[in-house]
Amino acid sequence: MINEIGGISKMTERVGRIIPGTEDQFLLIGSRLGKVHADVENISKQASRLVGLLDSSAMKGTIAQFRDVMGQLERYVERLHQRFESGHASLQDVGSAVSDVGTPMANFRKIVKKLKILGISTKIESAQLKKMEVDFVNLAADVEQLSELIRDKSAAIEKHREGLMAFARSTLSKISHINRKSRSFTSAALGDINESICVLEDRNELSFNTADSILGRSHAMSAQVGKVVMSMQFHDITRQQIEHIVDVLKTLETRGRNAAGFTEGGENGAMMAEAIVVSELQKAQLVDARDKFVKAVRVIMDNLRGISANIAGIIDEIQKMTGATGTSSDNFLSNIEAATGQVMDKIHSGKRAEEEFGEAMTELSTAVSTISNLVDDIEEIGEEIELIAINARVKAARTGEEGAPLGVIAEAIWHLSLDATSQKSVISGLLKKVVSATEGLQAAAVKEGPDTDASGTIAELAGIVEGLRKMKGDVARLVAEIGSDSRNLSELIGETISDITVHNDLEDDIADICRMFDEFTVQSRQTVTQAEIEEARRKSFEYIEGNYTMQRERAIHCSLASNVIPMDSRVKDRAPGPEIFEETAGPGDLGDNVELF
Amino acid sequence: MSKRIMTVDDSVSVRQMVSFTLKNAGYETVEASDGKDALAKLNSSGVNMILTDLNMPNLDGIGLIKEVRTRPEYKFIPIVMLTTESQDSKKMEGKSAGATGWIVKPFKPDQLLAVIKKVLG
Repeated sequence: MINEIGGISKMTERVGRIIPGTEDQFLLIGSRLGKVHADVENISKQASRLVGLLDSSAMKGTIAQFRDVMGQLERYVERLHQRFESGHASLQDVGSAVSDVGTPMANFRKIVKKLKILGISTKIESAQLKKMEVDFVNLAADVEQLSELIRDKSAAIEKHREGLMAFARSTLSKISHINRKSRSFTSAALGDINESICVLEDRNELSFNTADSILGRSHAMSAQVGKVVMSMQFHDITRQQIEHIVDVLKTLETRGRNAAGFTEGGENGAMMAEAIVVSELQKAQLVDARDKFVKAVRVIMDNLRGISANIAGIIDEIQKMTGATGTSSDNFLSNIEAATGQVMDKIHSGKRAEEEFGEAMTELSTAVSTISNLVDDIEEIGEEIELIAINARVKAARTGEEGAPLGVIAEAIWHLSLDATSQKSVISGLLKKVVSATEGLQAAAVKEGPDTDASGTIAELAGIVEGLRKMKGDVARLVAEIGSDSRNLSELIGETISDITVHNDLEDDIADICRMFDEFTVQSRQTVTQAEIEEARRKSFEYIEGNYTMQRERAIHCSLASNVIPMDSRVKDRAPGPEIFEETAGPGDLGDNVELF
Repeated sequence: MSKRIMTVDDSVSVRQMVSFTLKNAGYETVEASDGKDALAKLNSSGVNMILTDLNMPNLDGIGLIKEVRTRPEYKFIPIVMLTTESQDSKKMEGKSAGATGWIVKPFKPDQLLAVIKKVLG
């Protein structure tokens, strides 16, 4: 008898020691949960701020600015090309006009030759006409002088023309080079701007999706914190269930003592049978308490891990959004800033090319404009030949029949003068064409308007770069903060999870106690009959039922002592399996576990 | 100004979770370890609502409600039971004593806050 009472007393004492050792770990988890929750809130807010930054009106403004710059660049480039094309065409016109002057200039060389011959012929003929020698000597000298004048002038014109041809050729090559450079700048600049717009739009779109995802993760983390809060209450629930077991065992012990012990047969046999039935029930309650407790702790650990995974997910999404490979990097904004800087450099290069073009055109235009002076020289040659031809004809007429050969010479000079006049007109016309073509050069050299496109674009890009730099700073700071906070939070969660051993300790403890219950039951069964046990099952143990506060306890009691308590089938169905959240919120307004009076 | 809620429970971990939930929602909290402790803190705390467990040493939840209702200034203060007890007879006992509502543990944070919002208005 004493042995059985001692056994119950030992079990009571062991069961009573289960819970007190577990509370410290729960309180530690609880205190860390506060920090975890605060950190989760903070990281979610920072992540939302970061997403907001990339999805902000500032970002949209930057995209719009980039689009505007794109328009400006296209207009600028179009105008630049037109200017270069027109300059190129004018340059070719000038070159061709200057080249055309070459043909009539060759004819002048023939005229010079003929004049020389005529000069000699005049000298010979004048020698035969003694009395008029002086006049004809003068004429011969005039013809010779004229041939020299024409030779000098035409040589000078030819030299000037050839110089201009060379200059035009070199300017054409320079302009072609500038044009090629400008074209490469254009495609590269437009390409870079387009790429930057695409990256910004991509990030804008990505930030929109990331915002949704982060919001989803924040909600998931709130739900995970909620599940931890809920599971934490199972310490109290388990405590109460175990206290009820202790109370029942203490009552059983007292009843055993009062009934003068657990001995075979009679009243004492019934007491022993009661002890067996009550022990089986309490073991079932203990196993249920253990299962709920262990499951609750695992739910706590799983949800803490879930929070950690969601934080890692947020970091991952932020990295994808910012293009960062590390938490403190900010690659995509750096890339856009660098690309924008390159575009600005290219616009500067374009401006320089335009200036070089203008300078080259002005230089050539100035050089070509000097050709207009040659028109006067050509006109002078024509007039001189004409004068000498008239002079020769007059002098030949005065000599009468004796001067007939001179008349032939005079006639030849006259024809030559007509030819020279005709060549003069051709050259004069061609030179005027050169001058006219030069006007095209001057027009191409002068910009059509102020340099607004390029300067405006550069100013606007400088504004964008400034905005991007600020945004980059803000993003980098937030990414660094989120990274640092997340690492700290992950460490805290990892440390908290590794500190949780309470479920394993409790499982081991309860396994030992269950063995004690089993040993007690097996030993006690040897002293009572099955009929006595069945009889004990039929008895209503009010001291047990009165202890229950939880639906679950009643369900377990019903399932084992079905002969004692009239079964409610609904309760019976719910009895198996430790569903830890079974008595909480259902589909009702506030939940099935809530009742407002 | 935020509302102040007293949480009465002999379990430190439950008080911890209730306070955690309420503080995160912007409420101020006062903690008491049983009915007797709650009554001692009631006058100086200026609470707007009480959340109490049922089974506690010294003075249980029903006893606490009865005591609180005798005080004119707390005659209409919302008092919600937060307990593992789910028996209808106990709930009726609580209602008769003057409880405003009954929540069976475990509670979900959102659920507790919804109840508080409903009873505090």
